[in-house]
Amino acid sequence: MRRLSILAVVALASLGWAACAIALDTAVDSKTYVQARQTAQEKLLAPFYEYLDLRLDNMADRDVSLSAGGWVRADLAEVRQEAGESDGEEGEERFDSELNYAYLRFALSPQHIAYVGRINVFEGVASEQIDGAYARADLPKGIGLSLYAGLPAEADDEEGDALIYGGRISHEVQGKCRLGVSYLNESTSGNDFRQEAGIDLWAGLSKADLTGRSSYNLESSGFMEHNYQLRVGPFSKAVILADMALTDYEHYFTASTLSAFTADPNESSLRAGAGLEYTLSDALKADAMYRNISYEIMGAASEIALNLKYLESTYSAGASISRVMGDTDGLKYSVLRAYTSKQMGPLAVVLDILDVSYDEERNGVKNAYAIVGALGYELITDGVLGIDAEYGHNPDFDSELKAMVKFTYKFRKGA
Amino acid sequence: MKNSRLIIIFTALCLLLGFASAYAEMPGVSKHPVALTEKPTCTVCHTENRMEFNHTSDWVLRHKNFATGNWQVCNVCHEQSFCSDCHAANDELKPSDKYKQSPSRELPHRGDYINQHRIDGKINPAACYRCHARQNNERCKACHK
Repeated sequence: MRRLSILAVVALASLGWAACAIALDTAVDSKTYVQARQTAQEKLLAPFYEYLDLRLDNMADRDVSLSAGGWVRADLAEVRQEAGESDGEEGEERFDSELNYAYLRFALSPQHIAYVGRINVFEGVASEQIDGAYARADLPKGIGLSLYAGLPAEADDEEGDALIYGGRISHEVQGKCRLGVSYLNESTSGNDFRQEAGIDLWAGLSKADLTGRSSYNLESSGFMEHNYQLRVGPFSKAVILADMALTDYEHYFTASTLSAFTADPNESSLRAGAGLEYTLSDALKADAMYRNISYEIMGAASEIALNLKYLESTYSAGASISRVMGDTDGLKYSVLRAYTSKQMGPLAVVLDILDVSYDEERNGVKNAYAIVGALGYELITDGVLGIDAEYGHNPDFDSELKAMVKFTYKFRKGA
Repeated sequence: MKNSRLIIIFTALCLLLGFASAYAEMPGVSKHPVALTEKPTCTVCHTENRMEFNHTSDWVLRHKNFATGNWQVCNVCHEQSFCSDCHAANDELKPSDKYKQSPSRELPHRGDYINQHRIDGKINPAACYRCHARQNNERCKACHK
């Protein structure tokens, strides 16, 4: 099914290109990276990555487009291995690749759009990558509809019976509020193992902005999470921030493919925070935030963060300090960061320093830091050559040096 | 059972578009007509009905509510490749490694996150779950078998 859908997209795109080359807008973004780093096993890795994103617009003089993107990797030096495997055993992967997305987009109008292929779907409770089809329509009176169905992209090819589908309906009063109701179903071999429903809302008054969602697990019959953020202001130059997230572990941590998320079903958490954002000038902003996480079973934790950011078109700088306090010394640390970047014609220069101080030593290290220097030079129009180096000291490395050479290029033809 | 579900859903998709296209076209654009290079404050140009999309300082925390409720508005400025930088199903390079030349961007996992995640994962595993529960966890599986 997956291969068939992707081949269908490619075949349609090829026919489209052949028949409609006259009126075709083409955009290609290429990002090439060569990284050099050493593993904890003193293996020198030099992976070469090519990230390619392609978009063909206005196929057949209609609002039909083809988009595709992915990456390939080749290890130029030693071959990476999975942790725990020795030389020569299965697991050596000199080459690897991934197709992030590949779809045809049909737009009857800006409000009525359909996608076919490998597509990321963001609709209510769904944040999924699927191989299938997805359509959405904005109707009069502020009503929105969307449907999607296909194979979940993370399903193995051997899981031929995997299926995911769902949809969302919403109503919006433009500039005032929006309410959406969504549903998602995922099954394997005809057995539903994931059914989620949710409501999402946005409400904007003149000085207040509330957004968030609540999601419900229909398989385990319980609310997964209530997650909401509030902004109040501005009052002069200040904005009050608040957020909360109530998570029920029994219903939230289900349907994971990773053993790290095996959770105590009796656990729940409430994360609540409040803060202030202050605009010092058009380019300079400061914010302070405090958050507390309390648990039913585990000990509580809290975080305080202060940020200062200066952002202009050719210059940016920032500094931040944050303190994370878990219920034991082993779960406490402080983070300091400062950075600056400057664009001078075709040349860009960056300096970024990060320092993490642990209350309790980790592998004999109380202070971990990373210093990053980066240079970029626009060699040709839309073609930038960059090099960056990161020097670090952390619990795994007394002295770690990573470097990366990159070349990014944007090709545009047509409109 | 699976085939009948698929047929029903695809039929519904076609009916949805056919039904929707029967309505008169409403104003809107597919792409933002003016190129934006920084975090935009939409209300600088637009009226108040776009205030929800102002990219505020806490936008990274809040953007999921707008992306999952109004993806077509995000798509006016952002291509799929932009979302894939952080939300790829499988990516080996950290976003902060790919974009060291953009230190002002709110990119996760800067520095030596392998050690730091052992603390953050205990304090708030729900934050990790959103991105790594079902996708982008191949590297995690090297240790978390």
